[in-house]
Amino acid sequence: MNTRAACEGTSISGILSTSRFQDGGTGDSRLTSWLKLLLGIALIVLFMIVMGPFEKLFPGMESMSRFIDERGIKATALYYTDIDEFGDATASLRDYLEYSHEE
Amino acid sequence: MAVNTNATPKSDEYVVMEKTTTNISDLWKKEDWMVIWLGFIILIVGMIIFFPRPPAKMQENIDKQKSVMKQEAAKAPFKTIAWHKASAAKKKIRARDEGYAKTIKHYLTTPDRWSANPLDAVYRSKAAADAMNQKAKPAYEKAKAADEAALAKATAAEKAAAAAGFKDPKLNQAAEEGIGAWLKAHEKASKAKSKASNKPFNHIPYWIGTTIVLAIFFGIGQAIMGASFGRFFVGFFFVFLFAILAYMGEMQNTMKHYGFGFPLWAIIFGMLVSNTVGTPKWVKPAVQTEYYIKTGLVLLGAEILFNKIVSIGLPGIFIAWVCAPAVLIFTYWFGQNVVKMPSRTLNITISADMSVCGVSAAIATAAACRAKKEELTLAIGLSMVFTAICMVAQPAFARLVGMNEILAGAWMGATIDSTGAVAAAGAFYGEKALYVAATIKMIQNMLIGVTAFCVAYYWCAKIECAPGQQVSWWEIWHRFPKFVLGFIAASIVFSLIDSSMGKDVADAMVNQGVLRGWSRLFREWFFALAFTSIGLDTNFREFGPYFKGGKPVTLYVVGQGTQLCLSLFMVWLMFFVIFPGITAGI
Repeated sequence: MNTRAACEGTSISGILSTSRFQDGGTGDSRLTSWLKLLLGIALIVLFMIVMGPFEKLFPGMESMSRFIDERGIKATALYYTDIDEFGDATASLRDYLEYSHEE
Repeated sequence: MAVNTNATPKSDEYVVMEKTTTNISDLWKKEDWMVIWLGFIILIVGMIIFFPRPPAKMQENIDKQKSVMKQEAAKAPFKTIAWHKASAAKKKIRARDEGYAKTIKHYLTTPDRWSANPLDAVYRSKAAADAMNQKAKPAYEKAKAADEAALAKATAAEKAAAAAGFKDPKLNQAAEEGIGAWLKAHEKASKAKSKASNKPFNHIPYWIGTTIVLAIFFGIGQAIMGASFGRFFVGFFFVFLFAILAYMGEMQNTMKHYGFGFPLWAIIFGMLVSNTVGTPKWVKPAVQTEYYIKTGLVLLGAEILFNKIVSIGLPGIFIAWVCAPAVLIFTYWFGQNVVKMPSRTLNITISADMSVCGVSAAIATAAACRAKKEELTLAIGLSMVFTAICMVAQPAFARLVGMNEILAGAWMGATIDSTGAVAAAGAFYGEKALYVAATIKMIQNMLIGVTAFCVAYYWCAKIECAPGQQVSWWEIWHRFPKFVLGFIAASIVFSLIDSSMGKDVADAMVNQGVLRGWSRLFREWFFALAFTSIGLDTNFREFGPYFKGGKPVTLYVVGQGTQLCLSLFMVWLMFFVIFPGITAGI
């Protein structure tokens, strides 16, 4: 059974993972390894540039994509500080709530 | 703790268990402590650079705009043009727009957007910039004309309302609608202007400089911990190069639309190399997933400002800090008892990722419970795929049922995993939806600190022990991932600094200064280095067992379904039943 090292600061990923650190790849011949790498790169390029734009086939995706481009929104942002809209939006909301008309 | 004496050091079952002793040298020899020092060095340097250099006449300008907003709020029952202009002017007061901050940004910038030619992400000549500006100019002129026309119309409508003393509801409504239309046109014109203001660049010299500085920075840490500085330094260039490639993947135009960010590309590119030609041995010393991720997390801690939790009052707290933990706990329980997930750490990582705020929550939780890197990768992959779907489907559903803007915004903010996708979905629905979605998501982002701490404690005290074993506080201290303390300490320090300044000054100097203009830039690169390391050190075959029975997908779908329903109910209850006054003020 693989039990975890239950001590502070111990990195277990190197112990548990199969090491990839070898010159010459996974046991394939060098040529095969390089061919696989090139094939992988080709598939990625194909996805990004050829298949990716077929987003318009997904309902709603085309208008969302156009909107993201127009507004320059960083849809890949991980955290609120990564995206300008959040800074502006929260500041705006604060102003809305603090400087409201009172009857 | 026992060592498996039947296993040999090379077998999979052999796990090194350290004796539970503490030495003062742990403070510089253990990685968890080292990342705290490294993170705090960056934060302190940032404060030294930014705090003594506020924007010119900052307080004076803030007070001036506040005074205008107060006057306008007292005058009219709606937000006037002058009010909006003052609010916008106040938002423009930002330390990160100062000259020194822009210079810093050059060195820490990420690749630019590109479509078919990846070199566009790295270099743009003056001729290319001019061509882009020329192409965008007609659209900008059109948007500018529309902006001016909308402003003229809004001004006329506001004057008419003012002439009636702001007592005629029809005139007030007409003015409010006119101003709303002007705000939309103005936003469009601003974006069109930035598309027609492209500048030439060449990122390569800056990246070379940054690579050398970061290689030395991290290399010194490695050397202090006993590793070879030279070997780390050399290997770091390869890892940083792949981090750049990961960002280039993110910045491809179509991939941006899907929300497929750099973590995904870093893993894909890294795995492509490691599973074909193999990661070169000389790179290994710099493949340090946990080292980079924990340093990044300490910096992320500084961005968790607890006073932001009350940004939208009690509704925000209930939606983000009651709903999300409830869904997290339910999903974890469901995963353990119904789905019977094969791994607790995978279960909690997916649960946190789905219920809190996506990738950043997954990173913090995985590090806190010491999840395997394959588990983190799987959680992130699931999150990104479902986020792309929700980003489109949720605003469409909201529009279909005619959902109120505030309700839709809060619902999307609470349920869509990724922060960026929340911005896209919220803005797509409307400006108020964006404001509320962004605020709710930001409050949820703050939950990461508490989640990481609680998960770390729970794992040390309850999970990593024999059934029925009572773990002493000293043992918990030994097991506790110390970097979480640095993460929390950074949060406390910056929360105190943020709350000690006025809200607007804090916004200008902390949020739009040290954080967005400094620590955040480092944090993004460190996460990119971490995910690149994961990719370079992962075998495709290691994923196989996790996909058996489709359990992770089942868990995610059930958890997300629960969150969608519970959040919708909670949002309605808070904003429309219990606190309608807050909704009316927006």
